Amino acid sequence: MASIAARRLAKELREIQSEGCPVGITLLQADDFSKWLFTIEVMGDSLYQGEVYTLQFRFDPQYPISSPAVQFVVTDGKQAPIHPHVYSNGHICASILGNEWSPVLSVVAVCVTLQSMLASCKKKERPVDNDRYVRTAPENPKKTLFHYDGKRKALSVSVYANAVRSQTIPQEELTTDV
Amino acid sequence: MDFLVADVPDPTDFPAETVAPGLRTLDGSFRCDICGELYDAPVTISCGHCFCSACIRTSLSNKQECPSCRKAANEVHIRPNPVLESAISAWTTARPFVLQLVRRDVEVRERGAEGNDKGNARKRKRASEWTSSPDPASDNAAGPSGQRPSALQSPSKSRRTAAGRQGVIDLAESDAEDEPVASTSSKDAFVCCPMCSKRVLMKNINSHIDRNCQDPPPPASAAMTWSKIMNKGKNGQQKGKNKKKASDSDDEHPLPLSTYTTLKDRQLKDMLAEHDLPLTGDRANWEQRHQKWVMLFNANLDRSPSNRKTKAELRKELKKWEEERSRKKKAVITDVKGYQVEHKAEFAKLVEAARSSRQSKPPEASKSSSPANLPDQSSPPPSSLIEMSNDIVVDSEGEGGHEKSPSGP
Repeated sequence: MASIAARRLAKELREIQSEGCPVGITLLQADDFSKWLFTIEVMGDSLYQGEVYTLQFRFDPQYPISSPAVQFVVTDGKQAPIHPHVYSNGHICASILGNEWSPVLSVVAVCVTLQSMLASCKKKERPVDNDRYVRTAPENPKKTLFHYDGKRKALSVSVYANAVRSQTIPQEELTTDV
Repeated sequence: MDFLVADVPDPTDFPAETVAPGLRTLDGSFRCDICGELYDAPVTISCGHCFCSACIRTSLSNKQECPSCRKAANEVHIRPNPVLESAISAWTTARPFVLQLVRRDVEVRERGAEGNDKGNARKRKRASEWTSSPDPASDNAAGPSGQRPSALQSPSKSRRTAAGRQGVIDLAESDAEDEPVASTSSKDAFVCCPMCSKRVLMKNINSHIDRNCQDPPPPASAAMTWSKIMNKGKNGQQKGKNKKKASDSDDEHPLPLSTYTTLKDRQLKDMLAEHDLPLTGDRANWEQRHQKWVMLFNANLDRSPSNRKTKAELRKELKKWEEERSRKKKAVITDVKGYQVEHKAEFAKLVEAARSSRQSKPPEASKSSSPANLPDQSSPPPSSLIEMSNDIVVDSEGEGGHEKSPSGP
């Protein structure tokens, strides 16, 4: 791993260890600089009270210029939260994990954002196109070309680049109104 | 954790704010938000945010906005920040020493706390006061220093000063007190001018009054000195300038960013040769090499001249970067059979999923039968995925590999 990425992650880890994670977030595993696991829990009054989820971060050598691949763990009996932006395979549609990622963001900042994303949820439901997406989703959520729609706070298109390129999905299907 | 790089200094080297106020923040504010290191060639962009030159250049090549505030930003907005750079180099020197001081201080305090811990938070806050005093117990007996009678205060302070405390702290203490300090006999102390009530150095008060409370006119003399320097410079400049031109006139200007797609191989080769860069690898390598070189070169120019690296050092850096990259290069699967065996379960699962989705939606099946990455094979059965593994490319980070999953409608 590029030394910049390793050093930056080492700093983040040291900060987590010395200052601790924010409330509701705990470091589960960080044995190397490629994959970290956190548990995340929404504190206070919310639809997800008492539910603990596991969040997985994967880093590439271009971190922090390129975003980490973040998803909920759905193996070993773990579940992804039921949320309009979280697919049942654990993939998350959040703009800061995609085109709005900034290198000044950190692992903890992402955790806190996702925590508040869960906390502000009004209705527990899967994204409308969950089944279709999960069927065709790439293994790495970073390869998905999510369409972020802030106004309606919902996801209207979720296809991944390969499918678009090879036109497996007819063009008119790409824009599904929510 | 042993995988951690042994020496990765960061702000948490300093104790928390309650113990050493401001130090952690200070160290943090000298660090680039992108790489987390002390600024290397700090630059400012149009919104005023500051980053290492190399960091912000890499970030801007990715996305033209400020990473901190998302305001639009561009390479041309990058301006070096020499003042911050000199602050950084001073802090780099001072940091180990300050750390050592802080650690010693914390140690002494802990020992004191063990002996005489009454859990008084306020006392702890003011701890820096009594750590230096030889016997913390006596201080505690006197109560919080603020409540001590002022008659006792100055002797105890002078004792502390004599004990070799840092002058800064004493200054701060005397600042906190009121005017009486001004009446100390020291020549360096400030006094209130009886006429204009301005604070003037004791040794200057007489001349100040003589001038009818006007400030001494140093600007004139300063200007004189400057013009003297400048004139001297002008005389010597001719020679110096000529000399400079001969050696590194082309080193003074940043290199322009190139649009590689419009360049012919020949031109790109010339551009590399111009900077004595190797011509190994394919065109993609050349482009990356040249791009990285421009980045390194321009970032180097943002350092102050005394801190700049030589071109040879930059070339070495470029080489190191390329080696690091090639180590992470995608591992092409050569043993196709072995790969198939190893991932048999995965393939079987995918084939099964593809079959079931096909059966459930027969009308759309024809559309989805063409696999994503092999459009040239006309409607192969789902089991053709095994054949597809010929060109599967997997890298160690799971990035850039072809998709193996069948694409449903």
